[in-house]
Amino acid sequence: MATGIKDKVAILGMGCSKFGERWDCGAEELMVEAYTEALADAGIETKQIQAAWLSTCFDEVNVGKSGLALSTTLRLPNIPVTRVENFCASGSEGFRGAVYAVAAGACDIAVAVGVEKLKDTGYGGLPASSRGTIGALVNPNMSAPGNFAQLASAYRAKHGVNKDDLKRAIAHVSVKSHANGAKNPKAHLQKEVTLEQVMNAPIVAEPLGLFDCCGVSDGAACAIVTTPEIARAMGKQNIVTVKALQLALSNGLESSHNSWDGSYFHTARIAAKRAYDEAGIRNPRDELSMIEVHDCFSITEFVTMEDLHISPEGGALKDVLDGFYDADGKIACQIDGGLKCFGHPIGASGIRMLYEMYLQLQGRAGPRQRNNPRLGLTHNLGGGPNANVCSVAIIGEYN
Amino acid sequence: MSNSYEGMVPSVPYLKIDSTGEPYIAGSQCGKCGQIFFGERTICARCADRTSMQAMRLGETGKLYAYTVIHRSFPGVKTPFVAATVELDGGGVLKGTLLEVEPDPAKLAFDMPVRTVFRDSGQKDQDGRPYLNYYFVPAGA
Ligand SMILES: [Zn+2]
Repeated sequence: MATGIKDKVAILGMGCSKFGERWDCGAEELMVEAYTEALADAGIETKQIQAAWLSTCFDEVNVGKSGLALSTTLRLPNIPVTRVENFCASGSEGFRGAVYAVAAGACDIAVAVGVEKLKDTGYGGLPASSRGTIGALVNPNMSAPGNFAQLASAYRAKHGVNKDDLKRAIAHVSVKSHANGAKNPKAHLQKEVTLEQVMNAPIVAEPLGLFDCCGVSDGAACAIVTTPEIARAMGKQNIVTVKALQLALSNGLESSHNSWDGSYFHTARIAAKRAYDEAGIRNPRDELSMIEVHDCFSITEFVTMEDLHISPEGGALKDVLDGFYDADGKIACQIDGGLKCFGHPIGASGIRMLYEMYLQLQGRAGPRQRNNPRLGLTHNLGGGPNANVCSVAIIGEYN
Repeated sequence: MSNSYEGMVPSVPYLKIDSTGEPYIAGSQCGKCGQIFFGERTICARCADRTSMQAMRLGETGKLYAYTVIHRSFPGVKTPFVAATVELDGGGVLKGTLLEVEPDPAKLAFDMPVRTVFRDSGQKDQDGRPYLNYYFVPAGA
């Protein structure tokens, strides 16, 4: 009988590169930047690492296929290195590999590194699929913003929400994230924005304007994991352990539509429920301290507040406007600035989210530090509303 | 009018031209659970049945289910335009571009009736043959 992941694996150290337009370096240097910080934080040497996972998405424009890029860049001691890719949830997949290896007892210390260097493609969004027949003629709406924007109209239709009210609520989502990102020296965008700026920005895909979309950035993040016993034997204080690690993938039901109305993420609801069960959380609204979600677009974050069973169905609008998810709200969301301010170097994002939760739990988040957080959740989504890969992880203090 | 589609290349596999020269959207229906899909399938994505998928033609009228107005797109794609999800009468759901309506949310109503039309996309393949594409227009248009 499976017993779940709770408290079987501890985070020994984490690192995160500066995110942004990193013309100054390549993907290898980004990996080193994140890894060096994590290694120092863990207080170990490279020779102690027994298995590694590398998460990247676009092998064509990034470090290529296989785990070799990580093995050679970090001069790992000829250990198993696995490259994983699962759309935009790739980072969480790398972390899951390392955590499972330790939980299985296959190794004592494992590392996960996620990296993506996207700015070199020169394109404003994710690298577009080639402009072939289907892309250009039939599905020009299949851009990421075009795809996620339809969540908004489906949500409005379902809950009878006025267009202007929803626009104001999703604008609040972005204003809040920018306010948080302004306090984070590792974020790509470190400027506050006003509600007026967000509301009046050029429209990309109605109702999503420029400030409703996350940016494109370069970045890397790293996690080193071990068992709580080993962490304790090493003299570590404030040990943070993995409480839940769930992944739910669409199985085609959303695309067949009759049981899915296009206004929410079916997978997120399932992954979140399983994660709460695994972590022993009965009431997430009361028990979670902070969440870091996949805010590729403001509307994604908005509907995710309900999918994570924190806001009641149809209640996200009120919670968002009430400041429930603001930095000083009941549950801080995107306390580091989120994808909105970090951009989304795909392979890195899932681990970057965990990095902030880890810093917060250890009381090391500087000007962004929340008062005594206990449990942090990350939500990392790959794919579009109708077919996706959804990871929900929960980490917290070990006691 | 059938001959007007002669020599045109359907832009996607699920857009077909029948033996009389009439274009249609190909669909499939599961004989076991009744689910209707666009395009040809051999396995049902709803109930996983592998034995009873039947080819069919999807309806050419429907209702606007959800939409967005695209203002920024890939290089070379003309904006703004309405990207729509349409629930077809008789079953099936299809995404496509909604034409002949102002690309303004104030002019778009949920459940507004639309119909499918087949038109020259304005682009040609390497042999100079025009691509045939499907679009939606308001039912009255
Ligand atoms: Zn079926």
